[in-house]
Amino acid sequence: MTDPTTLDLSTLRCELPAEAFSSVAPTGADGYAVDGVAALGAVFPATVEEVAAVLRWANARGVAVWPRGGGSKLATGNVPARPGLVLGLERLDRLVDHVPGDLTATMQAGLRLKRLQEMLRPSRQWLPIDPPFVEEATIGGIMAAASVGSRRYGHGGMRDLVLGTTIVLPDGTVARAGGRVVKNVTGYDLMKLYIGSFGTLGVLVECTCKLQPLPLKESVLLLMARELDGACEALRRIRGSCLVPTALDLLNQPALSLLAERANLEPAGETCALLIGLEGTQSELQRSLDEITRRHAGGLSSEWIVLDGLDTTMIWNIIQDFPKVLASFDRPFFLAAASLPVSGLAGFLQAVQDDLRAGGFTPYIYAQAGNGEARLAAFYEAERLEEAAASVRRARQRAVAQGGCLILERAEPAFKQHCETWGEVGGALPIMRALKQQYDPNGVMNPGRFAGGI
Amino acid sequence: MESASLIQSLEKLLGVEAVTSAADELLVYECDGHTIERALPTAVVFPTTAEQIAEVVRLCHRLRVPFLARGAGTGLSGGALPVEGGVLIEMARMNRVLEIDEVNQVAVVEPGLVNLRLSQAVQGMGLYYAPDPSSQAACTLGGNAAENSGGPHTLKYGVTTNHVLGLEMVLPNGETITCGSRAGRGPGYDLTGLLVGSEGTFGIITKIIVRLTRLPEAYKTLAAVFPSIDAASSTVTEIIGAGIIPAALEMIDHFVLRAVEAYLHLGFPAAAGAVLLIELDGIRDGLDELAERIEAICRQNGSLEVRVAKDDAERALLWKARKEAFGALGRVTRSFYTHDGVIPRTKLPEALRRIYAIVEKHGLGIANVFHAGDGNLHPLVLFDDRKPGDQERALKAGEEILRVCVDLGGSLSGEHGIGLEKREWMPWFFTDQDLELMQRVRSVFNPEGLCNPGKVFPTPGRCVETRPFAKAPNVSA
Repeated sequence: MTDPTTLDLSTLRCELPAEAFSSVAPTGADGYAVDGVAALGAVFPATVEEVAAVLRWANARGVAVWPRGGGSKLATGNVPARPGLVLGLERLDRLVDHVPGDLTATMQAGLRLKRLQEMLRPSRQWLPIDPPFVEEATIGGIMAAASVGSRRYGHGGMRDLVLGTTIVLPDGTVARAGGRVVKNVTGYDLMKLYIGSFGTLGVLVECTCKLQPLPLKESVLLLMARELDGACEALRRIRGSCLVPTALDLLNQPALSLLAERANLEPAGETCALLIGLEGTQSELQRSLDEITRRHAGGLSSEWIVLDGLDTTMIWNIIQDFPKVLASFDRPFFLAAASLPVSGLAGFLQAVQDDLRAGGFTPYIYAQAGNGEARLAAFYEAERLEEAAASVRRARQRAVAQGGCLILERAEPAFKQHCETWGEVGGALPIMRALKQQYDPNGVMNPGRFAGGI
Repeated sequence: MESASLIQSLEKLLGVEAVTSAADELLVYECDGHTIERALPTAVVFPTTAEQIAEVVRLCHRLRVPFLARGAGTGLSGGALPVEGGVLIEMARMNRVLEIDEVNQVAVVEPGLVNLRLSQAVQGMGLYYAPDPSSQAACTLGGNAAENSGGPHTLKYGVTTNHVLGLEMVLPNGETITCGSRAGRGPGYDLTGLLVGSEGTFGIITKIIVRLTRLPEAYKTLAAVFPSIDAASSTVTEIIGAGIIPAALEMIDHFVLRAVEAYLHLGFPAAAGAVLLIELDGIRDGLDELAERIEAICRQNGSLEVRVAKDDAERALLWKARKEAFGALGRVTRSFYTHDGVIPRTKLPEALRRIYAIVEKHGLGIANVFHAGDGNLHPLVLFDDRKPGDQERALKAGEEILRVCVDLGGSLSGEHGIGLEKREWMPWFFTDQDLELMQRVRSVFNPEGLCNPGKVFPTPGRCVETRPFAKAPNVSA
């Protein structure tokens, strides 16, 4: 355990070039605090060797290390167990290799997704993911947080796309798993272990991913519905049809209003909406649009909007940046992500919406409904924090009762005292702790932030 | 521990009819599809419940007897090869579909269920289980999960790990853990993803939650005939380069084609150097357009003929040619040795040229039938097991072929696993640090190494007997 007031970075300074201590990001010195816990300092290695040097240094001294990509998802997690040294990956931002004919790319963890997509675009390819935080999200952060977006419905998430990883362990060992080819069962699939591990096992420094050709054409169908129930029923019909949309999102009325305002759309009246992403040839898109609006939308209001081309990008970007949209109001809010079987979604969302409304909160719900993922958010007045936290706990109970789970993605530290971030891990927790012990015996990697207190 | 008393204890746990220990009956289990190495267990047990499996494992754990699970034994890397003196847990009687959840498109199954049976069980609902190893009529879902099996349609649909949502597993100490759920993720590490592909070295899978996929409305299946394998290879690159990802993109070389032709009489031109089997699927609209673009690419690359399946029967026939290719080869060669190396797709022509050269150098024959879209090769080294030295040459050629795959930036195995077969070559691909970390992960689950020992990682000295190949097996991925 390190007393932050006496931590002496001078020995670390001997091991790294001076540039490693000046951030390229415009973040102030106190900008690295996590959940109100101040950072011990920040270091920005530019090579894998430098990452290893930082980790060896910290590991030998029991200094906690907080890996950091674009800094967008640091609100997810338990309040840090102790102050840590920020290990920023923004200088490890190279596209190491891109072979268009192989549809693969190898990149460093600090590379921003947005930049990657720009670099892939001339080859008419993309990494087919659209996780939250359009500007900030880095490849490493997306992996560490298992961050997914709407088009996971059609393209899968990082879990389905990562072919190989390089990780630096706390003792400085650099270890690889997987490879660079699109199909590979050589050795254990440790990539899966790292995706969603929130920096608790080591520092991801590089990965190879499968790519996809850019869609030939894209549309978004915004289908209004009067009630959540009706929208979920239409969703079930679409899901059960032979159509293959790449996104099946659901927005309740407050979330739809926010979207409409940001996108300059005018949805009619008090409605919620299905947001359906379509990709493919012109005839494929036309057929899907016709069939959904004529056959599957029965019972919904007859309103729909079709967006094409750049408008689709705009819509998806707003959805991706929903946490930022909420944060822009400068009021306290929570954001939780529930996962449950699709069949339970309608009942769950209705109950959660009713519960929050009964408490006088305005529930914002936007769901990757096709995958059974729902995000719930609400603003609250500071004095009603406990009530808001209680409603999230009740939402979690409902999700768990359906065989699902609920993770608190964003909330102020005080909120976390009343609503734990992760929920119960279950019987596999001892195995998870043992894995953590193998990777990080000194407990320096993001200590305390993960599920089960890992 | 004496084998007699071990057998007695097992019989007490499971009943006499669920334990096999007679020497002649054990012979059936002395190897899997990797027939080059063999070992005899003390007993084979046939549990019917997860609790029975846990009891057997607890017994083995207490007595320090090695054990492992076996599905249908179709694996080609020796992953289910018994441990001499150990217990083999045969999953044949754990073959129930426990639940089909149509709305959520999920099935809960026991590990001994045959892959194809699941698709058949849900066909009426317009669903299927997407991963389709060529051995799918025989191989089990437990074996698929252990090996992270692939198949021809993985190009678009992914491999087993992309379709497994959760698992129940008996750990080597007899405790049971569950991970994942039909809702997908839960809090904590993604153990499901870690367990799939662990080749039976972490524990015994007793239940699997899998994702079901909606059957496509329509298929478009094309067989394009090329004068050379080079022309077919460039076509593969160009199709992908045009932004089209077919559901399957399979290559059959002229040798395999001749063998297949001899019994299916498809009428492909005698000058054919290679055939590409290309399948598109999805909603009907737009498929013709894509098929036309693919046809144009094939013609630009000098295809001699592009045949489009007119109906389901013709589609089935074309797939029969692909899936039964190994069986067809059994008629024209005494023995063959199959490999499973992967190369980056763009290295296909170079890899194939080098592979042909290796086999020629050793004076052997070669046939190629493989997942071209994935760059997953299945070179079959042909030899005559009666000829002295032929088998050794085949093994040597196989080793050199895998070396080429690794040198070209590929890997040792795309879908068959490392098992016993390729464990000694792991250091070509991974550093000592990489391998050590993997073994530390294994030790979390399997600290005493009783569960499927000797697999995946290089070990000094071998404890199994090496014997000549059996006649070529019929099935493979």
